[in-house]
Amino acid sequence: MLINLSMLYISNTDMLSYRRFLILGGAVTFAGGAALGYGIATGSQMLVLLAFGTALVLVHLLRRRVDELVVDERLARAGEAASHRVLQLAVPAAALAGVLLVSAGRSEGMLLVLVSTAFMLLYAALFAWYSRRDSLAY
Amino acid sequence: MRTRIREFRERYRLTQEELAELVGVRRETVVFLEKGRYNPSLRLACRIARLFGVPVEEVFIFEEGELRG
Repeated sequence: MLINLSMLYISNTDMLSYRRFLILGGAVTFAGGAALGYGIATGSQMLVLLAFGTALVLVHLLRRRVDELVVDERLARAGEAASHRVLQLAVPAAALAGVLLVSAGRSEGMLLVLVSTAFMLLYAALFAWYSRRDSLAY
Repeated sequence: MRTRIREFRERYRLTQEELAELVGVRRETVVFLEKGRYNPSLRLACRIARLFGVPVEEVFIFEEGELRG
């Protein structure tokens, strides 16, 4: 696959449109995902960490250069609803999978149970924190 | 909920893009607002109403029964 490298070049003074941010962010995410996948396939933990960290930093740097509003209150609400739904579905699913694995004698199921419990505790703590604040993001 | 945002916007000869920038949201949100498919925060509603120089209830209109709990 050919990538026009000049499109990826950003000088210090360049600002990005939202559309360009989506293209570049998508390219970085794709490249990071490919490197991460390769790292997992070859068992290279260093590559996994490096790919994940680099992609995260690059997307963050790109986002800082966007001259348009990236997230407004409508999108923030949509994000909240989506996050909530993911939590509602993913955590019980992971907990159930963990319990099934443990009951089948597989010790890695315990990790899933522990992670699910940690997520629920974190959710409860953050909910308590945010519900006490005077105003939220909007 | 029905809104008169489009009517006021056209009266002031503003594009959706311009209105979005003036009140600090994305253009797509203005589209959703004009179609009555998004309930804005109190702050955004007041910002829009203030921009047009009218009370909030002149911009955002709730039908009878819509505000009942």
